[in-house]
Amino acid sequence: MEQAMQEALIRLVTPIADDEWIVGHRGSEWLGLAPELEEDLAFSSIHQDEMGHALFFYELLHALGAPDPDRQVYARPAEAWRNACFVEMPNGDWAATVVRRYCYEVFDRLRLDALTAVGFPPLRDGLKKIQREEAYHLKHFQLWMELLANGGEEARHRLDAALAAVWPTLPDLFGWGLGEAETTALGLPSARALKDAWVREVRPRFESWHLSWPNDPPSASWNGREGAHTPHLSELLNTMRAVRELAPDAPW
Amino acid sequence: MAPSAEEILSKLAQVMDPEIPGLSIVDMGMIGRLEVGSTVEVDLLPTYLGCPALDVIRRRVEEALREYHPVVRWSFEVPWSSERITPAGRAKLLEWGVAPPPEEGTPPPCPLCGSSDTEPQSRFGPTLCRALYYCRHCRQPFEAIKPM
Repeated sequence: MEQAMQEALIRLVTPIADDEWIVGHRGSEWLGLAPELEEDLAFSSIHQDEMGHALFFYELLHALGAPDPDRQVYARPAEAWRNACFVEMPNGDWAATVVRRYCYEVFDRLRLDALTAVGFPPLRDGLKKIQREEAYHLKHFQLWMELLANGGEEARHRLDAALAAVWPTLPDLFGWGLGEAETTALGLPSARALKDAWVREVRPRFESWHLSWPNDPPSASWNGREGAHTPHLSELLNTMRAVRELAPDAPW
Repeated sequence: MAPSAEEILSKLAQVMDPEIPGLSIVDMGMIGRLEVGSTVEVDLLPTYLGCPALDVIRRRVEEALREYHPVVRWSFEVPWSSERITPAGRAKLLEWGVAPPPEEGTPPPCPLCGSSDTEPQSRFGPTLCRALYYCRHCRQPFEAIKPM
């Protein structure tokens, strides 16, 4: 493979691996605290999946010449992560978690579909597997949106508050972290097209749930795809690494 | 002399799924490409990418085929699907009290009493590959392998 192609693939896959890993970590923060026992089980399954997907992408990156998965996760400074700030935000209450995860799952499905156009067989093989697993996640969060939207006064009130809090953090989710020419060369839709497709999917759902469509968020001063993160990412990484750093050289 | 494919498969049939006692990785349909010649190569198909048992399963396969110095790897070329579970595997699941994977969207008959009066409870169960159902007839919750 040409070196330029190899580098483009590393830049393409890193944000995806990082998104999935951070989503997995934030999800794990709910374990034991989810609103019901079945939801605890669901959350552990879903986030185990997400971490499995992240590991698949990190191994793919390693095969392309990037550091191994452990180094990526445990030794990278915050500014070298390419996840969207959207996924690093603290969970908030259950409604905020549901809104954020629903927004992410719809986006993730569109992104996975778009990625199948990239002519790199090891990536395509993994996508076939990941798409089947992710279908369950999207259905799950769609169901929760519906439950909250129809769940009576308090659920509704919390859902509205969650939308107001989560919506302004959307902007950097849709970026690939690649230049425009590179995006086209890989056969991928632009970030703009991806976002339009997302709106086409989410907006009719909002109507069916009688949720008013929030205004387009103003552009943010952060952009995780360029390594400009909020302080929440460093906090998350410190928590995630705390135990390992007690004895960095210990075999696990 | 090179071993036969049957010989290798019968050894693989001794490797059990760590999460479902009595069910082998052959029953689960986890064997992909099998190359038996001057070398023995086994491609394993993961049921779920995040399955915590993947490392254990690979080590058990290497151990079971030790005398052939096999090359064992996880492969994604063919995605595992619940349709790959063999008829013998489905029968063993039932025997263990877990419903084999139903058609997408149709609750499976109860593995405990056989009634079709069942309803879904959660798409997610105690392991990645199982979902929760409830039998209205015998009033018992039960698990089924998710259609995937």
